[in-house]
Amino acid sequence: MSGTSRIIDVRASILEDNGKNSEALRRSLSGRGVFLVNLMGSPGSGKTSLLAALLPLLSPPLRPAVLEADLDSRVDADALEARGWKAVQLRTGGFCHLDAFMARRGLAELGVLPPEDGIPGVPNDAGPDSPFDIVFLENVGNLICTAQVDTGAHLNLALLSVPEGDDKPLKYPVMFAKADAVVVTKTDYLDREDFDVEAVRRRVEGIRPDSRLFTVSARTGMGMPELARFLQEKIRT
Amino acid sequence: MSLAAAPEGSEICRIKLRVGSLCDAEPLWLQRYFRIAARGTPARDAELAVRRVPAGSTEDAVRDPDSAFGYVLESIEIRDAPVGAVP
Repeated sequence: MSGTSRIIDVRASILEDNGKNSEALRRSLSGRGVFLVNLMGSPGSGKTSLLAALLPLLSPPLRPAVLEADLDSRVDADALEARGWKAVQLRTGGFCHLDAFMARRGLAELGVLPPEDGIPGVPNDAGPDSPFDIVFLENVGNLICTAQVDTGAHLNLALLSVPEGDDKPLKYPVMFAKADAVVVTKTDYLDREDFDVEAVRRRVEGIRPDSRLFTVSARTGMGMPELARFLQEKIRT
Repeated sequence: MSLAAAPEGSEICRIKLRVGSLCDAEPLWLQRYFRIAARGTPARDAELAVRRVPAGSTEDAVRDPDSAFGYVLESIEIRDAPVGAVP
């Protein structure tokens, strides 16, 4: 004969563990003086090109490194390493986004964290100093899933390229809600596209009033110094 | 999480999962993967009851992303092992 039945309330998010991992990772990185920036945007929005143009404006005095995430290949990491930057490629397989566990693994590979650091409940290991003080996490090209999963980053940047169109904040509002700043890229295409920067500004402000908007071109360098200054100020504060 | 919430020796007969309105999880695939994941566990014969949150406005999704994109394990229904039963 079977036993009695009863219901147990759980009411817990399945992503709860990632939330704890993210907080632990942020604390651990802050303790080591490392600032982690999460770059989100669609495939082809210009994330790698932005980094290639931005890193020389930050270094020196900052010591940047990059975590590249893609389903496969080392194309982006190779492109940045060819320019002399340290980059680790994270292959996500079928995964459409990064989580804090994957970010921590990449940070350990960079030598920013000992492998066991940044795990909830595990005391921080002093370990060697980090060789980098700002790490860019180039997330998988995706406007949906990347916005839903905390990576442990201190700052989230959303990229929107001019050829994609100015309607993306309306279509993918959650990513723009999660972004501390929005970077409109490929502005050298503005004269060939029907793209309204002011409309993007209004749409982003409607979703996240405190978000900053930058307009840049990695090709011409337009707007890049302003973005570099913004990041330097964020690190200082 | 269901296994962790179930007392030792009990059998899980129902799992209630709330899925956000904008999640891309297909019920058919959730059931399929659940059957695979539950094999050999106390949840092997459990029913996976999926409740999808009704779609709201864009403003709702922005204000409360968890309601749009979250996966919440709401409850489990268990059957305690009969007294004297060997687990």
